[in-house]
Amino acid sequence: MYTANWSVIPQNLPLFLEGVRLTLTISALSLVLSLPIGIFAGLCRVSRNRVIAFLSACYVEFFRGVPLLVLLIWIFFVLGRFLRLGSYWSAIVGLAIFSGAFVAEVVRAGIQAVPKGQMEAARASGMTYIQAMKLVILPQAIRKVLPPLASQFIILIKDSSLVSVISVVDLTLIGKNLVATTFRSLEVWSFIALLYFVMTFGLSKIIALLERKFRAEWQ
Amino acid sequence: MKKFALLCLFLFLAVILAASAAFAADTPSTLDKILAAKKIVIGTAPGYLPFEMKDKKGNFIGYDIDLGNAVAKALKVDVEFKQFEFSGLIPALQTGEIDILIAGMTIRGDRALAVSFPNPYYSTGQVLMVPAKDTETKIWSDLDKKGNKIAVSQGTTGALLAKQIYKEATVLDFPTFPEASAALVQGEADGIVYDEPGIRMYEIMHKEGVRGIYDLISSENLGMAVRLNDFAFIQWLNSFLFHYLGSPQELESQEKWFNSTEWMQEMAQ
Repeated sequence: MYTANWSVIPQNLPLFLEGVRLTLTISALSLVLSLPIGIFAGLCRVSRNRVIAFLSACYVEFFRGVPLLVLLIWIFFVLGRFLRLGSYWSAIVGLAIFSGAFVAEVVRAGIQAVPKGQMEAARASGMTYIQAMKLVILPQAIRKVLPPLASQFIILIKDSSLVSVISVVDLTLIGKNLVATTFRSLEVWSFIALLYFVMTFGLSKIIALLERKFRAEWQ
Repeated sequence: MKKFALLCLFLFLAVILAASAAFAADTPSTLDKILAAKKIVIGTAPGYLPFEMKDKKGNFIGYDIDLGNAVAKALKVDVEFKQFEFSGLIPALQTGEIDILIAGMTIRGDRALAVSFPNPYYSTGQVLMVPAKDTETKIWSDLDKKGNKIAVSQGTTGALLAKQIYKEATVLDFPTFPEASAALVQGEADGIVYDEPGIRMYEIMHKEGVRGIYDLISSENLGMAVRLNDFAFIQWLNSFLFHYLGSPQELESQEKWFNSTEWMQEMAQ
């Protein structure tokens, strides 16, 4: 019978917190990077220029289809050979490119959810395509994409647990190392699940706040 | 009448609870369980050459696998090998997922608090491997400089040892030895600390890329592991090892896996 012994948690609390700090910084940095990538790629996908739309579709389909684990190994071992990114930045770049593909689809869905007549009306009233996008379509799209974007960012935090494969000492690797030295796998992993939940729940609350703010501004 | 039925149900539940509690307190030996089930479930972590790996057909092969098969044969039971990550093996044993683990595991005091080891079946040690282009390093301490990176396989004895002995160099955890050695070959790390047999095999297979430095940094004994304080099983395994080690069967197994490289053709590459 497996008898739980929870003392491993308070004894190693500083280690866990260090892991939370690293997981949060990596997720936050890749989140900030994935937003412009995703918005740019999403805008390109709805572009009237066929070549641009096609290239963007290639990016989305490829990075959405490749396992993140493999992507991280490619970036660290293959790309790292020429760029000397190191494991920390390889992880951030990998997560950002990966997540960007999903953000692009969310952005596309948001733009396409705005009725076509809006764009036509904006263009008819003399706006350029860029102006219409910026002043009419995007403000409406942002409100529509916030909920799916929140889900995407929560997934990003959880996906970041894969960076330990390229030796980034995130919360998951700290867990693995603790299990290797204390052999209390059930206790360590349960506590780590709780920490991930606190992080993702916090993020979802922040986004809920944003949603409320955008709605208030609109009205 | 209803109350009486309810009372009966209560008593019944209480008896079952008490019985299961008593059962849990007096867990029978894994040995009995294996004999009753006519099957032994062995946990291992393929990728540790030449102790355990998978051949082209996906079968487990290696020195440890021969050992496991010999254990099953002596018990006259069927054998099932289950694959885990190395660091997942002890938890699997603790939760009863496997009956025994045979994975080239170093016998260590901290591990012996979680699982129990019979007598060792193999003696080896930790050594250093460097890129072939590094012709200067002679001993592990030559690499202990700021900015140097030492790759290790997460959760192994080599990983713990490297974190102990390297004060200036950074130790990088990789999930398995293949990733750690890829990091070395790609120039992401300056050295690897890992078990001697594994390094020897790797050097044979990647002669141009790496160089092993075979002065043992630490010596150690490998053991099978069973559930904590399962004395009946430990006792049986010790008796088994006294017979098996040095037997023609075992010598043949040693010859095949450690002294020849023919088996490498069988391996998925």
